[in-house]
Amino acid sequence: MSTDLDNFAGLSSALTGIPQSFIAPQVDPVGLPTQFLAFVGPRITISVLQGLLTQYATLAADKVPPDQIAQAILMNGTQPATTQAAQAARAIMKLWLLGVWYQPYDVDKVAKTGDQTVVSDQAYTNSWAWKIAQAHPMGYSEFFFGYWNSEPPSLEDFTGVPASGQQGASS
Amino acid sequence: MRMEVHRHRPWLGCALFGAILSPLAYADPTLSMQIPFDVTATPPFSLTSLQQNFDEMSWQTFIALNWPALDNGDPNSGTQIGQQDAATVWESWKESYQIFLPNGQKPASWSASANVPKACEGLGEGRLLQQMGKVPDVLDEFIQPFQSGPLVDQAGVYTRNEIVVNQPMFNDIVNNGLYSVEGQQAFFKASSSNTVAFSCGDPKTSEVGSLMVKASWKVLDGNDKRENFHTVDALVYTPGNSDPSKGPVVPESCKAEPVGLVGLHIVHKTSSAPQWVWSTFEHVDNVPEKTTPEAERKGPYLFYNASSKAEVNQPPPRPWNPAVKATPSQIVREEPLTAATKTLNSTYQTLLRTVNPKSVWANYQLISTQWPTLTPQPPCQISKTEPLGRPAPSFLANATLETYIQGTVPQASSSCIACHGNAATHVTESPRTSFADFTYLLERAQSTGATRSQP
Repeated sequence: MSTDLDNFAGLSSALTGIPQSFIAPQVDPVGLPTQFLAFVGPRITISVLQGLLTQYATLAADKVPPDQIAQAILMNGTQPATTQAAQAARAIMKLWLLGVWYQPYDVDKVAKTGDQTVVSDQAYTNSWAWKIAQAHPMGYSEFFFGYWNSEPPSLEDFTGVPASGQQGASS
Repeated sequence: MRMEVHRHRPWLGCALFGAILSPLAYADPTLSMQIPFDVTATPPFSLTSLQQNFDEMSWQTFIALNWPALDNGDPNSGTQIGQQDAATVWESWKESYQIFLPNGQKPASWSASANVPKACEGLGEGRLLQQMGKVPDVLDEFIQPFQSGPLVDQAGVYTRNEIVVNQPMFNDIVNNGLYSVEGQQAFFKASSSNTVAFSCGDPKTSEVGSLMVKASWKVLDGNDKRENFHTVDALVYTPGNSDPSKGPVVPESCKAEPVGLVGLHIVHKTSSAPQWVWSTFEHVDNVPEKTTPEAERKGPYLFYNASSKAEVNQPPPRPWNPAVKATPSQIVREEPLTAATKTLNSTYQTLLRTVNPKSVWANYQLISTQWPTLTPQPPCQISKTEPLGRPAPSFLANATLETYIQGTVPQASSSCIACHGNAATHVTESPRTSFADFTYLLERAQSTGATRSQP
């Protein structure tokens, strides 16, 4: 039986396309999945969160591929879905990509639509947009002296996802 | 030294840390003079279980390195650690001042004894101690961004530090000419694939790999109980400074004095930890924890006065002049030891007392171990995208060696791996990377004076 944390990591992986082992490593000194799950719950309401986690768990148990799970949550036919669950899912995507929480809708006594918060320093330095850009966050780099003189590692090295011949991204 | 081309070894495809499950396992705490080749990871793996495994490795390494040594530096198999206090294995290793010589001279052989400064001649035999901070010159502006500074004991005397390396690391430095600026330049010029990469400990080949030790010592005075410390007779040397623009004018001096060990970093590069394993130990009497209520800070402590109202963790006022008695430091440990580390400390301290109830080594405690959680693939290889290897814990400080940069503030507090990831060689003219494999020692290389290319 999977836990809420497992389902949140799986949901996050399906929404971002980043492998779950990268989103939630087995040995993880940072712990962003735990931090994000605790942060997101009250801001999208527990009922919306539970609905998303249950929807993910059900589809994953039926062996639905991750990209189709994301489609089921985010889309209404060919149009973006406008449900609270879809809006919450998009906010979770942005959280992983940017380390910033963009409040998707009003939640009484908790947050207003459009509120923005950098969740933590770790959320910023580990946000995936930088890795997808094969770069590092502004103001924080783990790379060694002289790294700017070498080609960056491949997109696959950074994200576990090959570039598939997209222009401008070597893999 | 590994050239890049030699570092590609086949990855065995094992599960996380599976490759380092070794038959030479130390399942139970033991007193052994064998330095562990790598961590022994015991499944099921988790952050907590691996931290415990690395902490066990730290203690096993501490015991092996502090084992009584023969005259040639080998461990003495005819005795046990702590039977009586004696010269240790690591104390036979090479100090940085013996490697990075004036004018970039080639160091003497591993077995050669150290030369002492003229000011120390005639004072008898002794271990030469000269550094007063973690960096070589406290008068150097380099240390200011870190708000670092000397640590002062309750008698107003500066603690002294030293950094030594083991023979494999010494050989890597000497055989590749990295002891001089010109030698470093030649090393990089010789091949585009040359990078500074010291050897890794490896259970498969029974290689210990590269090790560094940083030690802090306090001068023992009438208030100290010598029997509580590992002690050596030292030549406490203060290099002279006659240039007021570089700090207070200090006459060169040297004094033969007994010193007691108060802090010990052990840094070990292994196949599972190419970012090195950073173990840090302290004397149990050093400082109270910040979380201990003031009323319960009984002591006596070596670097904290329970009756003083001084602000804690502040460097002494400048100028920093080791020739003048200073205001004692008032230091607390910012991050408390974990319950698991305290339990492990108790286990090993009890074991050490089975050899000798008054073993000096039972008066030391592990503070923690910082290690990379990212499994290198292949072993000994640094990740291209996460070169720091996701260290755990994120921060680690020794109260005697990173006194003023303790805490958990990102980009400011002490993280061994994150800080040493910035280490570079002295060769800044090199058109390509001059990362120095997590050691600042290579920056101490001096120039032979030969003409070299300018940037």
